Amino acid sequence: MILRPLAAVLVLMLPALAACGGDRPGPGSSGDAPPASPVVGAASRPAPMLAADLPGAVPVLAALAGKEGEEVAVVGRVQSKVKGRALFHLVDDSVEDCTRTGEDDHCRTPWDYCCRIDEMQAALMLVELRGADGLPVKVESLGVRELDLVAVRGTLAKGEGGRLMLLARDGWFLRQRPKVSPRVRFPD
Amino acid sequence: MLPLSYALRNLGRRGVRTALTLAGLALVTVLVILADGFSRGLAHTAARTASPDVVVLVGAEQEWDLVRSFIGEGHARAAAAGLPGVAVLDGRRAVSVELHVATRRGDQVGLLRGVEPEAFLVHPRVTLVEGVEPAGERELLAGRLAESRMGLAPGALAVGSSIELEGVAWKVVGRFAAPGTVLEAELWARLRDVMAATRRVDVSCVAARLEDPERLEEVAVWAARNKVAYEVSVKTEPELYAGLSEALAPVTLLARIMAWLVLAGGVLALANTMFASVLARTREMGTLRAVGYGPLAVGVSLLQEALLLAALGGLVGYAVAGLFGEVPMKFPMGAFYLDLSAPVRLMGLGAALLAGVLGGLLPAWRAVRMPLVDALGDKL
Repeated sequence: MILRPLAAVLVLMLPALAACGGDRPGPGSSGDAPPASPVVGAASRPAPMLAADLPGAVPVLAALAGKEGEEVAVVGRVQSKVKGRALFHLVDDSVEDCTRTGEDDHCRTPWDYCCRIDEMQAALMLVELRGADGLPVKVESLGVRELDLVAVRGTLAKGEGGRLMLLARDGWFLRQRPKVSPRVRFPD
Repeated sequence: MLPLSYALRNLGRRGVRTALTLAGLALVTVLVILADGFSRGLAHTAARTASPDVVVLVGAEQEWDLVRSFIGEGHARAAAAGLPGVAVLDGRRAVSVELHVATRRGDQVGLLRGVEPEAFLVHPRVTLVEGVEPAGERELLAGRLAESRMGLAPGALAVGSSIELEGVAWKVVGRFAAPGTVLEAELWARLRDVMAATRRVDVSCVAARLEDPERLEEVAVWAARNKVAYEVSVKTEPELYAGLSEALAPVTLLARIMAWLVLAGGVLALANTMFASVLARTREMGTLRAVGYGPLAVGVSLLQEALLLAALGGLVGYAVAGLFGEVPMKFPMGAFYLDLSAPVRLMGLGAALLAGVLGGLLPAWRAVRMPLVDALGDKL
């Protein structure tokens, strides 16, 4: 249609004006894999926050060097979480995100540790507060957000891939919430 | 009230001026339709690309840009095999290991996606419209808008043609449509071939269609538990493409502002015409009032004239916009067709009528307020 180029030209004027302005085995192979489906309809709990700090809590890296079945209190920063479930990752506080190093004051998601990804991955521990069904309990809120310094007590257990994780006993204590740039937008 | 035929006859009496105003209003209508069609086409492309029941496992290092995301192929395949809640369609799990490559040709960039047959289960909007799926070495499937995105001449990616990408020659064996999504501007080939051409040993993501979006929480728990083992994070497609909508929002807003500005221009042009009409017919209006027609009747008649003119201009614009057919437009992350559907064109017609009302009101008000003696003396 001969009018088609005309339409394209007319529309192209709009942006022009704008310019003025390894192969590891699958998870199913893990010996203590949880049940496949979450409990449907289970009521959500309030955030399982502890009223008192946990003195003697050890850093994540120290806990990762522990043994399965050991009772331990761990302290680290929240790296990621799952909405609605009592499950999150703690990263050792010695791994600095860009808000603490000042490397990038434009970063909106400093908890991804994008500048220290390998370091972060090596210092990461999964924390779960499990229900009787073997799944993380449903929670209205975790009570903590990414980069919060959190202390948790529980039992070390083997997670997927054989890495140690922490099965929280009852909840966690928020030790410190860092100040972040207004540019940082935390997930819901 | 004055009969409608009076207003019609008056339009005919000022033939050239009426024709010019009508042409102007038709142009205003077309521009409003194009600006709105651009805005809607772009916004819909950003919004429709994402399916709420599709999740994407991305590399833990780059969670938002699939081109820069990488996962070891072994990890990706293990994750694809273990991911829970995946829909099973035609006896196959709807999970697809993919490699997304920003492929360059001169200063143009297109997206080359390496896929396996399951990709069509994960992205059901992708439908083959011509030719066949890639089955042989270095065979390519081109989206209907791929030429536009890559700045190629129409027909450059016709079935049977060849194109050099990533330093190797590919043969186009099929064309696909994915209406209203950025996928329609992509090039698809077999995963193995894209990996070989780009010398990659990793992939970009694992995309999966869930049997029920309600199982997303289960997938999120699974991904969190396997975050370290597979070095992946899970995102839903709406999360991934939210950035696209956000990036395009200022452009769509600008297009809407442009439409309103064009409409304002139409209102002023029509008001000017109608004012001229009032001034040229002052005595005639005085006479009408002298023989018994009230000021309101004269004012309403003027408004009728303005509306008739606007409706005619709007109808011409509506018809002209309907002749454009499919107009492809390119943007940095993809391409889309202008939305020139009947509802958008009706909106343009409505804009013309609005111009008619707004452009006719002031002249009509002036005619209503005109003192009879001054009007008869042609003193205005």
